Amino acid sequence: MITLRPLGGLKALVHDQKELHLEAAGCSVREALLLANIRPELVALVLVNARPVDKAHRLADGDIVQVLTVFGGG
Amino acid sequence: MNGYGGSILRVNLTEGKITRLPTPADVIRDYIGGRGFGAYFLYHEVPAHADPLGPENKLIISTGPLSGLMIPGAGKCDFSTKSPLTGGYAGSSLGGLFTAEMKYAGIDSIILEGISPKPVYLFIDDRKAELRDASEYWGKGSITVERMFKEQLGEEFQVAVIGPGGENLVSYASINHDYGREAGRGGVGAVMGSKRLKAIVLHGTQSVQVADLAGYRQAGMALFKACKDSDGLKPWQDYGTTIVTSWCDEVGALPTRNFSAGSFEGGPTLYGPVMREQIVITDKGCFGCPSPCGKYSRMKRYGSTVEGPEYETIGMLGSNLGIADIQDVAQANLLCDELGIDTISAGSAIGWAMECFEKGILTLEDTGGLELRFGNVPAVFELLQAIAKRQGLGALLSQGVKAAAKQVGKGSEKFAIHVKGMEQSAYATHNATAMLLAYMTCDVGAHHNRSWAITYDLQVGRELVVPEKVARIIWLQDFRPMFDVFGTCRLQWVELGIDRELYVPALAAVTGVQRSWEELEMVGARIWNLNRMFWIRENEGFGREWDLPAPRFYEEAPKTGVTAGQITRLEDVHKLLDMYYEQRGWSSNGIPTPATLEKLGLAELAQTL
Ligand code: SF4
Repeated sequence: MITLRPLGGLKALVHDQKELHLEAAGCSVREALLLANIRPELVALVLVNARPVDKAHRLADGDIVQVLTVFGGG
Repeated sequence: MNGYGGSILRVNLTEGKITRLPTPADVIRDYIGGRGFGAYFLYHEVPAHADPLGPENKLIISTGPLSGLMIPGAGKCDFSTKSPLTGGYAGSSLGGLFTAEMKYAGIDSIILEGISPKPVYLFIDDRKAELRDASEYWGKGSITVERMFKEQLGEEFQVAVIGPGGENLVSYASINHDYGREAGRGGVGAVMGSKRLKAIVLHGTQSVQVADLAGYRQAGMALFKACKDSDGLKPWQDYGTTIVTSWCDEVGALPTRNFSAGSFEGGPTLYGPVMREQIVITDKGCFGCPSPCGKYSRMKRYGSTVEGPEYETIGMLGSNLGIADIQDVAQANLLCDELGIDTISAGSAIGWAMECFEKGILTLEDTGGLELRFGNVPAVFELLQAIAKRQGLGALLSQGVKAAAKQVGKGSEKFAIHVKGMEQSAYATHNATAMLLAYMTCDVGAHHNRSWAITYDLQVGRELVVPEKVARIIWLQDFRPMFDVFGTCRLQWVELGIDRELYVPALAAVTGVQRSWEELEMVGARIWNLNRMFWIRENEGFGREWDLPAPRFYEEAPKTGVTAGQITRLEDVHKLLDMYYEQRGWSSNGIPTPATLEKLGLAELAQTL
C-alpha cells in the first residue's frame, strides 16, 4: 500500500481528496497516477518520502508520494 | 489618499528639473496603480511616433496601492515605456525591495523624461530628490554599481541600475536591482540608458495611510495564512520556478536549440532537483514574501555566485542553446545580470545566431572566428559581452531577433522566434494552442506572464482550437496582470493556489474602495485595450499580421522529442485569432471597435481610429 497526496490544484482532479491509499507497491509513479485517475503529464513534480523522483521510479510499500501540478506557470 | 504614496515625481533629465505633484484622483479611480498608471501615462504623455530612445519617450515606474504593505509579495513595481525592441508598449515588473522604499518616499509614479547632457543618477531620500553626477559609475556592471552605492550610502538605500547593456542601448537591456532581480523585458534598460540615467537610488521612511486599519490587518493576515497553509508551499520554496524544467521537457515545452524542438536530451542535468543539489546555497525572496522563489547559487567551477537561474533563464540560456550544464547556465545568467541584458531575449538572439551558423547563413567571418555551434559555452560567454558592448556580431544581435533576421535575410526570418519583435519566453508552443494564442496576443510581445496555459492545453487537449480556450486566455489576460496593478506578486495565487477573493477585502480595507473581481477584471480589460490602442497608434498598418507567431510553430514540426511531428496549422492560428478578436470585441483585423472602447470608458480613443 502506498499513500498518494495530490498537492494544490491537483486535488480538484480527485474530488478534493487530500490522500489516497493505493495498492501500488512495485508500480512506477506513472502507473500509480493512472490508478488514481490522474493523467501523469499533468504532474510537474513528484516527491517520494520527500525526495524528488521521476515518474519511472518504482514505489515500495509504505511510500508517501506527493504530486504537484503547475497551473500558473510563473 | 488611502493606500497611495500620494505623489507623482516628474524628473526632466534635459533640464535637470524635478517636480512633485499629487497623484490624480481620476487616474486612481480608473487605473488603480502600478501597470495601470504606466499604461495611462504612457498613452497620454508620450507623443505619437516618439523615438523610443529619444527625449520624448518616457519611462514610468509605478507602485500600486498594496505595494509596501503587509500583503504577500507586495514588493512589485511596474516599468512602462515605448519599447525600443518592439516599437510598442513595454511593461516590465520588478521585485525585490525597491518598490516598498519608493512607496515610503511617498511616490506612486516616477516619470522620467528628456535626456540628461551627462550621466547622472536619481537620488531620493523621502521628500528630497536630486540628480547627481554618475561619472564614477558609468561603464560599470550593474551588480558592481549596486554594491558601490550600498557601501557609499548605506544598506537602507535601494538601487535600480542599468549595466553596460543599457548604456549602449541594447534593445533588450534590463534594469537590475537587489543583485539579481530585473525589470527584464522590452528594453526598459535601454530607455533608461538613452536618458543617461545610470541608477535610481532611494530610501523612504513615511508611513502609508490605510482606510481601515483593523480590516487591513485582518485581510493581510488571512492572505499570509492561506500561503502558509498551502501544501504547495514547501516544494515551491525548495525549487521555485525550476519545478517546471523537468515537466516542460517531458511534455515538449522546453525550448531546445532555438525552439526547433520541445525536449532536450541534456535536460536532466538542468532539472530543478539537480540544480538544488548541485549549486543552490540558499533561498531568497522579495519584500514581504512568504514563499521565496529566488535561489542563490554558487558556481564552484567559476568561483562565482548568482541569484538564479530561474526557469526562463535555464530554458533560454540552457536547452535553447544546447547547453546541458547548470553551472554554465548560471554563469551565463550572472554575465547577463552584470551586463544588464535580458536573459530571455539574449538566449533567443544567440539561439537564432547559432542556427544561422549551423545552416551556413552566418560564417566564421560574420562571427569573428567564433565556432557558433549549439552547446559552445565559451562562445556564448563571448557573445553576451559583445552584445552588451554592441561589438561585431553582438551589434547585430543587440537589436533583437526580428531586426537581426530582417538584416540578414536568407530565410532566417522563419526561425526568428518572436511576436511583435519580442523574443518568445521559454515555452515551446508547437502543439499547445492556448499557450500559442497567449503569446500571439500578449500586450508586450511573446511573454508568458499575462497568460499561461500549458497545463490547461494538456487538460483539454493540446491541439484543440475551441472558443473555450480563447475565453480562458482572455480571462487570464484581464485578471493576472491585475497583480501588477496592485503592486503585488501574482505567484502566491498562481503557484500556491490561494483564493483570489482574499485580495478583495485587502484592497477595500487599504483604499476604502470596494471592488469585486468583476470590476477589477473590467479595469484589466481597460488597460489591455488601452495598450492595444498604443500599438495601433505607434505602428502604421498595425493589425492581424502583428499577432502571428514565429513560422516555426506552424510550418516546421519538431523532428525529435515528445512533440516530434506535431504542429499547429496556419489555418488554426487564424481561427484562434478570429475567435479572439470576436470575443474581445475587436474587428477582424484586431482593432478594438468604438463600441468596445466606449464600454471600457475609452470612448475618446475611438476618434483616433
Ligand atoms: S514568489 Fe518569488 S517573485 Fe514573488 S514575491 Fe516571492 S520571491 Fe518575489
